[in-house]
Amino acid sequence: MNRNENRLGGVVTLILFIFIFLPLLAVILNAVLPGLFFGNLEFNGFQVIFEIFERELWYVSLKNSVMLGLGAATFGTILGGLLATIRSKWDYAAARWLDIAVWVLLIAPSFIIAQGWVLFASSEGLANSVLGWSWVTSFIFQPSGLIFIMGLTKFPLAYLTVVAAMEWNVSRFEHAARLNGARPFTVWRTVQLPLSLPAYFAGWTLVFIDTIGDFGLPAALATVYRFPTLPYSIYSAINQSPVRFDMAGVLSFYLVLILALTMAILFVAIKKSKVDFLNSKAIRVTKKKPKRAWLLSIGTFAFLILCLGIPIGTSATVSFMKHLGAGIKLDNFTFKHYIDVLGGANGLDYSQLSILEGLKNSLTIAAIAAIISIILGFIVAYVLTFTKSRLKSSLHVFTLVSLAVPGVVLGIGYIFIWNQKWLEPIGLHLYGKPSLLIMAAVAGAIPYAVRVQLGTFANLSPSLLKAAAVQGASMFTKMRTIILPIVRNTLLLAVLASFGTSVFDLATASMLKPSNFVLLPLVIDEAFEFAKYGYATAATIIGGAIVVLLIIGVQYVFNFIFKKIDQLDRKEGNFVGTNLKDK
Amino acid sequence: MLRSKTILFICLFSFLVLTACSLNEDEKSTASDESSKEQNAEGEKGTGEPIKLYGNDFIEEISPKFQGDTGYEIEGVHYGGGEALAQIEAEQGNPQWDVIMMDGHGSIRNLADRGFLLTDWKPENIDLLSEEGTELVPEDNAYTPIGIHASAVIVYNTDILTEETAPKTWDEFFAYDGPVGHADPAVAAPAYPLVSSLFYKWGVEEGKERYLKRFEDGFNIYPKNGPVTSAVINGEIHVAALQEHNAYQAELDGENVGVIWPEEGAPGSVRVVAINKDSKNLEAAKVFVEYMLEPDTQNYLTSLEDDSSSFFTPLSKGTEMRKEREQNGTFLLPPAEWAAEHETEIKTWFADQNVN
Repeated sequence: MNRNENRLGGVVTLILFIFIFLPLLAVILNAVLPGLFFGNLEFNGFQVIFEIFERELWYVSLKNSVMLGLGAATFGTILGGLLATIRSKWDYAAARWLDIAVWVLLIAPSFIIAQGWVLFASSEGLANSVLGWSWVTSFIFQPSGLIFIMGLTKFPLAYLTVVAAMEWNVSRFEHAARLNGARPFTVWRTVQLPLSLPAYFAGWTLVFIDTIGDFGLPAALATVYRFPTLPYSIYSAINQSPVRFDMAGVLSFYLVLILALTMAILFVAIKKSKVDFLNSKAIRVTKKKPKRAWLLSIGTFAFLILCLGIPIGTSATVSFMKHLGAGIKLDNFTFKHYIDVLGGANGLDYSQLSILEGLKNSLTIAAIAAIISIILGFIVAYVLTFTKSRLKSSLHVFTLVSLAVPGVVLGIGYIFIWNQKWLEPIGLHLYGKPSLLIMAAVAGAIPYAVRVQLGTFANLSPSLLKAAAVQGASMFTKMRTIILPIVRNTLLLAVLASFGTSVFDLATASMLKPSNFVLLPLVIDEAFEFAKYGYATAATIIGGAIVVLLIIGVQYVFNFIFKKIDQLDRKEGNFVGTNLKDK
Repeated sequence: MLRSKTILFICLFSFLVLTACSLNEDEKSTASDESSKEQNAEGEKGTGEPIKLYGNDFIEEISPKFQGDTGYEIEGVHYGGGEALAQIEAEQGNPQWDVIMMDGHGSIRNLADRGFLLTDWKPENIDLLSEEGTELVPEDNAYTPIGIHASAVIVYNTDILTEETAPKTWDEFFAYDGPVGHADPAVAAPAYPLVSSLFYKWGVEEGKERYLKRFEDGFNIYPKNGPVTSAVINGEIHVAALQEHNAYQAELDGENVGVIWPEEGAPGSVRVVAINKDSKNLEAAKVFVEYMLEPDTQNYLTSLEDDSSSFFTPLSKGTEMRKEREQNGTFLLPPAEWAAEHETEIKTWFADQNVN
């Protein structure tokens, strides 16, 4: 522990405070002090907070959000838990594909998945016009249908937590139970379930948090079906006239309140249900080959078609169709939308700059944000894991909070903070500048950057760092020569994942976009709103393909570089890092 | 313990930072009033700073043309109507815009009533306005009308209805037996002029009753006029109250729609230009208003056949409208003051009814 580490801890805490906590606080303060950020301070009393129960729209938004959150969390957890149990028990061909699909769903922006579903299920959609399944429309466009879609989109969060918990073998308890005559179901109910309950709880909470803060689904739905939720009502409160910043503040306040409650329940649940089964006898689960592997594989593939194939396949199909409702026929086939997108056609009345310009802007912002967030995440994880900084507890709180703050809330908080007049002379009037978009993207990516790296750091023994410190290594030397080589692969994946998500970040883009600044998700969303489905989907496919290619390319290049560095290191006899990685 | 103390400290600290900021701003704002006056004094001579134009139609076309014709630099920013107003509100601590040009004189009146706009300046070209246009000029000259279009005409699906069976008046539209729809007044710029015209025509209470009845009988609200057009084309709704731009464009595109301009009048939406009172280049902003009143400018806008926004009635003398639209159409138009006064009430009421 040295002064440098303390200072570093202070700096990252301050940054997280400014990036995440301050906007949140601004939103809540604005609910009771509405003029605060416009230069006229007046206490508004608390009655505005209770107005939510009088205004139908806000009340319905609250109700819808809670219902959607509870439903999707429950359905998603059951789904994720089931798949995770199968996945960790058996070894079969399609399992790998399941993992890939889970990651794709995690990274894919929810509004694009939702648009795919809308195009599939709406009255003009593929289900109706091509397959003749008119029941799909009435099934999807009602609350339980939306819960179904959300569950299918958000289950990966539950899946990953449960899979992680199932990594350890608890068969000695199961064997004991079986010996005493318990049937498999009883074993699952009395042994496996209680042991993995914290994981289910954590998974449920994560899905709930992600669903209730989701902006993509209501945004995509808005064209065809009224389903106001809190994030969408917050967005519309500030995007229409008369503008209601105070109400956006109040609705955000409720959203934050629900999220805080959920997290509190999660912590209590985890504390209460702590069972010490990870002792020296713990061994990893070895997966068995199932008897009917093909059956599992077919089942998995069918599921993948449902959760990923329908939305993405629909978007891909629609991008080649002249008219959505006209069905899949040769005379309805066209490349026009791709030519429009690639030619930068400005036929749509909102687009002033080419969509390619938007793609370039979005990619640049996402790349910068990914790098900054990973550096911050690295330092935060380092301070949390290896130092005794006094700021650790607040740092911990900030990273947890950041996990739960929806983009919409962050966006409005940023407007409050960064659009104040006194900031202009000191050059910090960031509202309306691309740098604010970068900040928002960093704030959005930090929770993932920190989580991923905390996970990797946890496997590192502090004795390595102590040994280095004894030899006189400075903090930066320790980071550079010990930690970085070990965690670099995870780091790379985290960078790429946060890059992939921020390219399509619709919520902050729609709230913070500078004037005359085109961003890819906005172009897609607007085209969708104007019912130009072909253009929207073609832009999605092209944008998505470029992002995927970039991710694969960067990964390939860096793996090559890492290999070269390792070879160099070996020659110099300096192979701490590589040796450890094999451990 | 340490943890809760830290959190408490952080909350306190940030509260102090925030309030300090806002108090600071109070002091500053008086100071900046003076400095902005000085700036305005300079602005009278022309500060040379490019002006920023916010608006919902013609922004791409008019900005380069204005710059080319007058030499004043201008940057056009294109928003949806509601978005432009929201942007102006969001920027009220620190306005970035100089001129706004959009339809919906009620909403602009609202801005004027709240002190956002330059008032009591009379453009020299105001005399170029036609009689119809002159009637729309407000007493305080807070904004200048340049055009008017139908925020809604009656559009029907020709596969379902014929010219004879389709509703021809707003009463018939509200009494129609089958699904009808229009755009959301909270989101689409032309939809508030539509709703407010009908509310004014019938009175607020009767207006609410008629809408409630309509919601019961089948009434679809879409965020913007684009999806309304698709819905009437594919038969999801049989009849729509659709902005004339979309209506005539769909007819020209050969879609299965018929357009009826009700004899009693179509709800009108007035396009106006207004100047930010804190503009950093008032001279250029005023030149823009004068420029928009020129018959040549308005004729240029109606000649833009690729842009469906060119379906409107220009308000200066010696101008021509597009031939494809109803040439003798009349408008239902509430007074700007009335529309501004009832804006919050009507929009809030509407949003609360429209929640499934």
